[in-house]
Amino acid sequence: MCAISIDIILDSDYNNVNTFGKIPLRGRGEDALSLDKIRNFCIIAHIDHGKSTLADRLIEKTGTVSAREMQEQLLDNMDIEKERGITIKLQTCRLFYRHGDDEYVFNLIDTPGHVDFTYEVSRSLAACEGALLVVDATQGVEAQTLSNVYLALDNDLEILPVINKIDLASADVEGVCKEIEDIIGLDTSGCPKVSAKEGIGIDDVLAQIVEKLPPPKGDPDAPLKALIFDSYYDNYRGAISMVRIMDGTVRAGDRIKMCSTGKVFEVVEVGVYAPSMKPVSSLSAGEVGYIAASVKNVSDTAVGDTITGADRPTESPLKGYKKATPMVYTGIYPADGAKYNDLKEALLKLQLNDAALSFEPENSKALGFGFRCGFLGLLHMEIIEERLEREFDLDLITTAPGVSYHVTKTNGEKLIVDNPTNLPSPTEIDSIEEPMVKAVVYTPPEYVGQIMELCQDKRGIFVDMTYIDTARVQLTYRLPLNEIIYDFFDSLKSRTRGYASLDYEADGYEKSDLVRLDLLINGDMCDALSLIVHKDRAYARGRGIAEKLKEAIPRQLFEIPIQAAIGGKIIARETVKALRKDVLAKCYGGDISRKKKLLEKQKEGKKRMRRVGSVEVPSEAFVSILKVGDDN
Amino acid sequence: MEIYIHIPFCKRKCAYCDFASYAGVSPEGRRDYIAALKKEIRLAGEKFRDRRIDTVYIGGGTPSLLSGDETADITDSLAAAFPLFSPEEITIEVNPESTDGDKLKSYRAAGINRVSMGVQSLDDRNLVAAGRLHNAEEALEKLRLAGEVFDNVSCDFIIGLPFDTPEAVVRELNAAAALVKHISVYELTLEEGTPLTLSAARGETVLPSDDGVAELLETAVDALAAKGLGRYEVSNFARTGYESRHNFGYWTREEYVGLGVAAHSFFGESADSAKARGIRVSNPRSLAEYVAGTAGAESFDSLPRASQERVEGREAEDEEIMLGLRTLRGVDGQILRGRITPAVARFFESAGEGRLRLTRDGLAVMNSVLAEIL
Repeated sequence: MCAISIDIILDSDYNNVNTFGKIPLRGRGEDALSLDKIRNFCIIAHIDHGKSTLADRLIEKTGTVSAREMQEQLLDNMDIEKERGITIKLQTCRLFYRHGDDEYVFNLIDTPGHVDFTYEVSRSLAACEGALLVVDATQGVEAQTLSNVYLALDNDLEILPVINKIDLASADVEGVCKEIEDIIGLDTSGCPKVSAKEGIGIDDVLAQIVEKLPPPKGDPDAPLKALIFDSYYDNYRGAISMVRIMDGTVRAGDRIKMCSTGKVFEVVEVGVYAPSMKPVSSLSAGEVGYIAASVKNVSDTAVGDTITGADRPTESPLKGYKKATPMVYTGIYPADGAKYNDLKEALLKLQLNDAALSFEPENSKALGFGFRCGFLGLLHMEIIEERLEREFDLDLITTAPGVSYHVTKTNGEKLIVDNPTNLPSPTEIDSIEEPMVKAVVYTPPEYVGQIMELCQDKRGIFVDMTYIDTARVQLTYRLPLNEIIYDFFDSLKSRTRGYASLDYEADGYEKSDLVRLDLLINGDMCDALSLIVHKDRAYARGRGIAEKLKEAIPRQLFEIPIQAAIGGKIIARETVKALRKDVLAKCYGGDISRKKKLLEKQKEGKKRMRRVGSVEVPSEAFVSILKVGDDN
Repeated sequence: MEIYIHIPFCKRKCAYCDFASYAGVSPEGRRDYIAALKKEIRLAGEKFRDRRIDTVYIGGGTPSLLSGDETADITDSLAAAFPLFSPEEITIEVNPESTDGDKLKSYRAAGINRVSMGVQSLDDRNLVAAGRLHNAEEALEKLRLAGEVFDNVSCDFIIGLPFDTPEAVVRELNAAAALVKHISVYELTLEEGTPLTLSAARGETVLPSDDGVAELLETAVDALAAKGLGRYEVSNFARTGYESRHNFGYWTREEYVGLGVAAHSFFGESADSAKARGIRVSNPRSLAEYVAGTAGAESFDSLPRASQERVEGREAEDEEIMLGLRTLRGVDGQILRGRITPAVARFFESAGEGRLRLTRDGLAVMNSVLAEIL
């Protein structure tokens, strides 16, 4: 988690390192390095455009980490990030750079690129004055390039375009520069053209960071005002806040106050990420670093909160961030019911590190005790599930992802429903509104027809189509979020052979003809399988799920009807035939161990089953229905 | 107490077999093995000198690969080693291709009174697929021959081979039933790593579906009943009075001592205590390990073991249920108290005298029933 797990050793006596000339490494403190020698920036890019690789090169080039210690994609240090080649959690690193006769301190804040993590991007942006916009010279401007640029502009950041991957044969540097000027309106004259992979043009990037990005503002002597832009739990030091100091100075021993809760803590240590945690004597206005204050309770270091001095508090706390609103919901249950508390602990720890994750306890007849979790999107959901399974060694059962509906009952009462089970009966419902998104798809023109057909299929309403150039089209649709989270990504990818990119943002609610689709196993409703779907989709979906369940549920001692129903009306039926025979182990030569083993295996398998009425349903069955597309 | 003797030699390993059997063992290897076996017999005789020996079963592998003299040597050793050696039933397993009239007569002279022949199928295509070395005609001829020498002849069938059909099963079982007193019908199980499993996985061998096999097994039960062979255990069928005493001991948790490579034993401190507090041990599976380990042992208790476990309490009860429910006799209704759930109640029926057994449908899904009640 975060930078602490990076195992890179700098010179052990950090305070005496003189490689960096006269920079006082203990922080700025009294003989402070002036603000104009600091640059706080982040790197924004579409996924895969080479953001993390560029970060690695900057770290390497500035000698922050020697080549020997250099480890590919240094800042992506979660296993999942490395494997998927994406950044999920933001990371920071302090770099030292000599420009002319002067020494500069750079604080680099790495950001996630995926649309799901917009919230995290906006957090890191708030700690910066500038942003490097990395654009792949072979791909050009993509959906997330744009959305991240808009976020950066909203935060008044100075943006420095960096054209990456110029070494590739298919690179079209001029074309991409023109695109950036045309679509985004940024000046690309003289912007760095690099190959982060090959280490080409990195010096130019470093120089332009000094020349083009503005230094931070702030008063080191004013009352402390520090923005928590991330926090995480360290088993030894408690909750650690990653901060950008806006005003004032903070040292070990200071008493600090959390503006939102009023709670006071004593600072145990302040430091920077270089990129491993290094204590410094103080952090002052304009700097980025961490504060450890023996905070036991993770909720006391809420991301977006302002830290101030307990004895001399600021009068104007920072605005903080708009709380991230979950868009996608799913039920997460421990496969082993006894692990409920472990799951809860794990979610609490992840939440500290991932402010966008929300969860509350829920109870399913089929799955027992678990949590209804809210996510920013499907990737976010997958990442959290994977982290729960890997980092916390949990076996999970998850229900089909859904969205949050606004329901108006016939008696005028209004409800928000994010769990299909809680949808009132059809007779009590006056209307249901579902969340909509504005989806922007970038695609080569030859796929336009395919994508329009897909969007139409997904109940999309055409908004706009723009030819960016002869090679690319921007398509805008208004779509129900419910359809996007279902199998939209997969369909889009397969229909465009991966060439299209997608971005979406919330776009209000819309009345819709929605119904709850229930699944009955041997006549018993299985709450964990219920879904809210558009009425026109219900039949196909019901049939598809019933078929999947038939495959996933093993034959048992009796015949098992599987039915899909809407409000008590059966719309599809499949049957799992009764088991006719078991494998018969013979007890040859008095060897009954074979038979015992077989039975143990059978019992072991039984334990992993969930009971729906009298039927044993394997955990995989709950997962298999997630894979029912409209196409099957 | 019962004695099981394992003869691990085969001319060739069958395509479905994963038992402890070895093809191509040299004459010296065979001699060393018999020597080790005789030593183990002696040590077992010392250990169990107070036990009355009720049955002996010489199984394999292919015991009929031994000469008449080698076989007699083993039975003589048993008689000499166990002071209370008075078996009512001594069975030897034979394969058709290694059986002849002289050998059968020498078995009879050695005190053997029951022959069990590995027929497996009477369809030559199935016999080839299974990797057997005989054909249908030879099997029938040898069964006839065995019937001339022995009153009590049994044979094994495997159901679920590639060319099995209900009609063929009826025809084959009728032919065999005319010649024997006892038939065992096993279902083909695909054991990991066997040639048949691999070939089925590659699609080279096409086996009947699960439901198809279920139908074949039920057909077999009816066919045998029609010929007077009643089902007294899930896989075993006999004319009245010809039920296998030895196998019955396994299902009722009698004491038995298994001698030879990979053999399994079950015994107690005393003959009476095994049921409540028994020990299950098994011998090494490797021939070399068995021979060397036995040579170095000074007592039965110091023989090399592949596994050893004590069975008592709930586990002993589970075993009693798991084994007893295989039989027509069933188990004492008392020990099933509180275990039978509504989901499986319909698979039980009375076996008289307060005993319960599985119904015919119940026998077919025995594992599922057991998984529910154990």
